[in-house]
Amino acid sequence: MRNTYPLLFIILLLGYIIIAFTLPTDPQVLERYDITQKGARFLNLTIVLPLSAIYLVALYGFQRFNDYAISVRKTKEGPHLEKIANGLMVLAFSLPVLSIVGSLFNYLKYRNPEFLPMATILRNYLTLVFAFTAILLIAKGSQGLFDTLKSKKVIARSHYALAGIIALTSIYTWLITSQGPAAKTGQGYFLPDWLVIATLAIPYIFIWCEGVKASIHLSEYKGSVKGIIYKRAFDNLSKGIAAIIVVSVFIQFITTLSEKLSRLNLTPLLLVIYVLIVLYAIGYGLVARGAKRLKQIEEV
Amino acid sequence: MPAKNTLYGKAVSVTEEYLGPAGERFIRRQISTHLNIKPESLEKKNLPKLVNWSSIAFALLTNNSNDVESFTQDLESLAINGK
Repeated sequence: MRNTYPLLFIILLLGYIIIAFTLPTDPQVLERYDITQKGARFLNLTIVLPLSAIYLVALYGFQRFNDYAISVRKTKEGPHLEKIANGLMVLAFSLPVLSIVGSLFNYLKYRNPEFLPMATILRNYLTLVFAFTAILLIAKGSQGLFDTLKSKKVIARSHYALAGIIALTSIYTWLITSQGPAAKTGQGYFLPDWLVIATLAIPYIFIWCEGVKASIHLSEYKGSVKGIIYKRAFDNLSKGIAAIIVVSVFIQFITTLSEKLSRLNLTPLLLVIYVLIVLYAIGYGLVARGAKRLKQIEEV
Repeated sequence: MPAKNTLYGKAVSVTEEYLGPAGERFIRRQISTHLNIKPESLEKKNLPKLVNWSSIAFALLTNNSNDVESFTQDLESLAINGK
């Protein structure tokens, strides 16, 4: 099983690279950004190659964490660490899978526009399923890990947190509903607003809150657990997982608002993508480093 | 969970101050691998050897010599006053 994950991941990644380089870019996109098909392929190269490198860092981070979780699976922390590892696995695998889906979706969008509504709906729900599963697993694992502590230092929750959730919910709902009917613009959800709110907005906001809760639990676990050497190693892990959660929430936020993004010029759009790429790399890098140190403690 | 009033329990408590939840597993490995005895049957006469091996293993986990020194002293103090 241990070797199955990297193999499957590499196959998916290669599939993504091949698709990204072989499928032609939408002529309307070329016209909008005033670039040729060749120029678009070159631009693809500057995105796909660093992205692939980051995806490999994600695989490495997950593998390291999974190795550690397996090595302590019989301890009281073990089952919870395995849940977090499974969540990281879903997040890592969602990267090449959703990239493949995204590339095929962009191709289908101009080759077979009649499939656009169905493809859009499927893509939106597939993205949600990946995010929901991953973050829920990480949140459950983090909660379980926190519950293993005998004495806990709980960070006082501010009333501002509640205000933050209300603001996030309101702004997100407003951004979603203000995109306009998809049938007219060719962008959006191709679903009635009430269905988008009920089956996309509410689940997303729920998992974002779960993601924040998971980060807080990991941070509180680190603050309360004994062991100066253990704490140092776990610090990398908790910061890495928190960074991954924040980045994936940010990605979900901007992908569900894709129409707003497509109105941006190319430069800020690329900047957003590169910032996300770097943050993802940092997050998974920290997870790999922390997991390596924790596993070392179990080996000497 | 080892009884806290046994020597093994005390060695676990000392190690947990440094290695947290991994402390008991660490000290159990050192005793069974290097002393070839059951961890629960640890006696004062076994401590010098345990301190030596544990310090060597601990030094692999950190570059901070103060941490290594402090851990070694804490384990040694078990032999002197049973801490």
